[in-house]
Amino acid sequence: MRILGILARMALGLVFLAAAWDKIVDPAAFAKILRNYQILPDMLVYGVALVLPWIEVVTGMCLLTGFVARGAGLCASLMMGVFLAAMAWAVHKGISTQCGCFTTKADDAISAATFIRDGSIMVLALLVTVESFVRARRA
Amino acid sequence: MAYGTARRAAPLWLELAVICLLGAGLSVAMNMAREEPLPWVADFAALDRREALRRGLETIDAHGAITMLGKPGVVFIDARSAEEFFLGHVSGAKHLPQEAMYGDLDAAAAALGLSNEDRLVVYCGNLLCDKSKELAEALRTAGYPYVTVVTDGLDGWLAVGGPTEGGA
Repeated sequence: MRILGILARMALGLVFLAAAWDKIVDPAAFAKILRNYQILPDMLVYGVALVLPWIEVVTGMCLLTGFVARGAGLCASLMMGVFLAAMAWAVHKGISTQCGCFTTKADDAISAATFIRDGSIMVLALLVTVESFVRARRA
Repeated sequence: MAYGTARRAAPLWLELAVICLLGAGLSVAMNMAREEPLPWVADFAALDRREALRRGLETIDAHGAITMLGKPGVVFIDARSAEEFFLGHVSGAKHLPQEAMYGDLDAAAAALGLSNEDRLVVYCGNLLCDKSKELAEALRTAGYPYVTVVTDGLDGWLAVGGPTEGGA
C-alpha cells in the first residue's frame, strides 16, 4: 500500500514537471494564453506566467523526492483546483482559448477532454495529499 | 521511524512557503539568465498597439468598436471561418475569411460590396488570434486605406455586451 502511495506521488510529480516545461521555454506565449482567460489584471499576467511554472517545477520535484511531500501534495491540489476553476470560468464566459495546461502551442484548446484530464490529475493530487497527511500523522 | 527518534513534521504553512519561495526565487533567477529577460509587468494594450503599428494598422478594443457600430460608412468584417461566423457574429458584420487573402481578395471584397472609402473594422475570435491583423494588412495592401483591427475580437465584444446575430 505504501509503495502505491509513493508511486502515485512520483507520477504526480512527473505530471507537474511535464506541465511546466513548455511554459518555462516560452513564458511570453504562456502569458498570452493567461491573458486570454481574462481573469488576471493585465499587470499581473507576466509575473504569474513567469512564477507559476517554477512553482510547478518545485512542486513536481518535491513530489518526486518526497521532500515536504505534504505541502507539495496540497499545493498540487490547490493548483489543480484553480486551473479547473479557470477553465470552467472560460467556458462559462464563452471564451475560446487554449488550456495552457501542458503546452503553449495552439493544439490544446479547452474541451471536455481537458476537463477529464485535469479532473483526473486533481483526483490523483487529492489522493496523494490525503495519503501524505495520514502518513505524517502516523509518524 | 525508530522509537524515541520521531521527527516532528514541519508546519504545513512552512512547507507551502518553502515551495512558493523556491519557485519564486528560481523564476527570478532563470528570467535574469535569459538572453532577453521578460518584463515582470507588461502593458498589453501598448504591446497590441505596437504590433499593429508595426503592421501599419489602426487598432481599437471592443469598448471603442461598439461605438462605431451602425455609423455610416463603417463595415464590420469577420475574419474567422464560415463555421464560426455561422455560430454567431457581430450584428451586421460581413464575412470575409482570412483565407480570402490567399486568393482574389479584390473580387471577394467587391462581392461583399466593400468600398475603399468604407471604414473596415476587422475582428476575429479573441486576443490570441492573428486572422484579423493578417486580413487587415492584406486589405490595406489591396487598396482599402481605412482599416481598423478589434484587438480583443469577438470575445471582447461579447464581454462588453455587444450585439450579435446568428447561431443556434
